[in-house]
Amino acid sequence: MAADFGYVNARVRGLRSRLLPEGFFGEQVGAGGFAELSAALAQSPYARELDEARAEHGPLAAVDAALARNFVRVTGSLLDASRGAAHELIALLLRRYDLANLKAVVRGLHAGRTADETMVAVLPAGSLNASVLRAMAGAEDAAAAGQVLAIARHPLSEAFRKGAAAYRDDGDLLRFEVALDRAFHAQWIADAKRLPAPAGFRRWARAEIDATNLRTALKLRDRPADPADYFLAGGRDLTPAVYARIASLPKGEPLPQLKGVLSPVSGAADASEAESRLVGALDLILRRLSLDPLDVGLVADYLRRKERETAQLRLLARGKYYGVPRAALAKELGDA
Amino acid sequence: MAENIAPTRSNLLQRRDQLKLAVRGADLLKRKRDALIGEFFALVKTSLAARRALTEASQEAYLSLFLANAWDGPESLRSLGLAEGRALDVEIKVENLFGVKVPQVQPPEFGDAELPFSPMGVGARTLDTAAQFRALTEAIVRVAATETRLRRIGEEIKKTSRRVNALEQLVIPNIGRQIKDIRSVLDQRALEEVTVLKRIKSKLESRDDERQAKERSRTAA
Repeated sequence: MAADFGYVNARVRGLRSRLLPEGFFGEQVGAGGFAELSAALAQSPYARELDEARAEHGPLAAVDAALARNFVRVTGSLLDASRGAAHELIALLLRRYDLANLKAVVRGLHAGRTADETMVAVLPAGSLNASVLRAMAGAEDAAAAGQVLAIARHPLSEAFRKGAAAYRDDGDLLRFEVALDRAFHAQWIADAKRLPAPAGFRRWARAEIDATNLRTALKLRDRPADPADYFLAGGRDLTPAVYARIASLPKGEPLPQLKGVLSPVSGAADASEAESRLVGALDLILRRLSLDPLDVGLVADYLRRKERETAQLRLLARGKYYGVPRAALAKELGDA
Repeated sequence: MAENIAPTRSNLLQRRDQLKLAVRGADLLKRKRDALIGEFFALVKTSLAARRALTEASQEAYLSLFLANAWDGPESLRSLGLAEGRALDVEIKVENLFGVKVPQVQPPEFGDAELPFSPMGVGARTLDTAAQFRALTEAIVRVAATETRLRRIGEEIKKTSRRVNALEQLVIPNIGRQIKDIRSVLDQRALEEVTVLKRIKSKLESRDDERQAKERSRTAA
């Protein structure tokens, strides 16, 4: 049975109409400085968050904080507006923010940071809210933080508990993080199969695993790490052999011929070109998925658009604040 | 004369020895200063190159941070910053350069390839930024190392120049004046002795002449 996305998608269409228009960035690059951008944002859907953030932060940090708050508010509203399978699917889409926040908590505990110090490194855009994350960040150790996570009934709580137990014995942060990554991706694929989503969504979920593996292989080039330690199962178009081959290529060597969803990345000369083509390929899948007005694809596509808009605004704000030349700024924005 | 020195021959000999020592010392210090100046200018080139490298590394690192903050998000960077909590070991040796103790700082080795966190889910730009900031830290330590050496050598050149000037402008002229004064007193004394001796001799001669004249008159009588 398909999840009920009728109501949620009506809200998403409303939210999508509140995304900044295509021409906004082009106009702002050509317009004045940071003050003009702030004024434009004060007239945009970010006005409320910007007003709040200005009371607490300096000019640039206020923009960052406003963008983060707006994103958290939007994702929170999507979770609140959905029920049943639709809620689970949206929570699945947002679970990577939970993963990033759990890693921040673990890193904070590893480095002996206070809860306040750790909380500046989290973005509670997933199903774990700020109060749960603060309780975890202020826990005595990773095992105690795992108990807080278990009370919140989070899907990663079991993996966290096991990781914390191993960490107590060896203190190996890297191993802990990799265990969380593996558990997250295994559950990502399992939940994508379990939940009532269209086949296209499952293909996209597997393509995301392939993309993560490809990105990891590119990051591991010229490093002594064993690539096999970081390969994630569940993808479709990137075999372990091709992954290992890419990881062993020296930087600057073009990528080999790839297949399926990764085929546009074939022959990319460097990591940034590969990333740009990869994002294009994944966005294309999402755009196709979003054509169904009664399924999860519209939410996934909206979230991707929102993330890109947030990143572009961060870039634009920094560019204006530091006086980056217009041509350089326009080029960077074009890579989005 | 600046101080009261007994104008004796032993003092004269002592002052002459002191003069020789001072002249030799000034000559040695001048040679040391020249060697330090040579080292200083050689190091200036290294220091300027290190400064240029620092400027370039700084530009690259901050541009990279700018992009990583924009694309990967400030929370992501702060999160990785929590993981990177290690101390930096810098090895410092003390080298003896023409008698000057100058520090020799070894830039830190990061083991660039090490990953203290899982690479999955970390933005490529963030990893680039981490590498750029490691390079920036190395560049800072290199500049600190060369500029500390430069400062120590510069201080030593100033100190040596002050010593050379003190020897050439004060000590050597002072000893020279003392020698001149002692010699002049001793010469005067010698002259006085000669005069006294001449007078004694002339008195003795006149006494002899008188005695001979008396004997001659007695013989004639």
